[in-house]
Amino acid sequence: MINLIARGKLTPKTQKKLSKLFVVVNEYYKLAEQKVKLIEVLDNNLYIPSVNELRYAGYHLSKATVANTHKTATRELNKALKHCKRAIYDAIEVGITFYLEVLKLFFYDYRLVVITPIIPDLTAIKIRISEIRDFITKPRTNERVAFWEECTQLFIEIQQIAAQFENSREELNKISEQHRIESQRHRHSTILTYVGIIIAILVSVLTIIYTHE
Amino acid sequence: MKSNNESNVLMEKKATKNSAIVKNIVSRFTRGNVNLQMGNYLTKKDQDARKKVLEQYDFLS
Repeated sequence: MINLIARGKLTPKTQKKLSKLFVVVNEYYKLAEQKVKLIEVLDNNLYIPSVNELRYAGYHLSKATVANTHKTATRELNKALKHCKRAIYDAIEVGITFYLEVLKLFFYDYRLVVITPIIPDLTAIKIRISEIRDFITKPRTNERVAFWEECTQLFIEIQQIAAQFENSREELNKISEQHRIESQRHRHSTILTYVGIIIAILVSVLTIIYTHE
Repeated sequence: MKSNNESNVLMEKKATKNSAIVKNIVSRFTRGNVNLQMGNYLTKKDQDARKKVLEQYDFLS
């Protein structure tokens, strides 16, 4: 674009159009970089493919700045935009994977505890978690550009679900502890009952023996 | 059958050793990102493996 402006090849209308497109790409690049960083901090892992997409976006952006025609500049900017959207999709997909793993661990931890007293709509939430899982496991190579927005919405949703479940751990731990104490009490009373029965049998047998003597 | 299993185990050990070497090289030459220096990064292969495990898990049970 710098080239085009310097050579006077841009009309005011096309210059305005190109400037707007540069601003849009800049916003998406910033958003993509934020998402990549967010997921890096969340998952404690840097996702290399999303960083590569940002690299490719940067490459097309730099090509756009030195393009010789406004058509080339527009084409390069649109390519940069697509790479930014792919970077967002790739990063968010890792975030969704992270939360699905958190939920998997939660369900394993409380596999022997009834969760519905604390989370009444558990079945509906489980169905929704399955749907989100199916969304990210569906193979997508060229469609990531089209689905980045939906992926972002699903990330917010799964984040809220995971927070709800993680916050219920305290209450579920109390229920689990209560069950443990009750079953221990039941076990003790069963043992005492059996001991009582054995003592009663022994006493009766001894009584019979001594009476006969 | 037994030799197939043995060769699979050998290949897995080699792949683990190779990825450890790669992480070591990345850690040595990286500047500016703490996670890369500590070997905390994901490739597409790693992410696909995670997705495969999640695909097989039944959240409805």
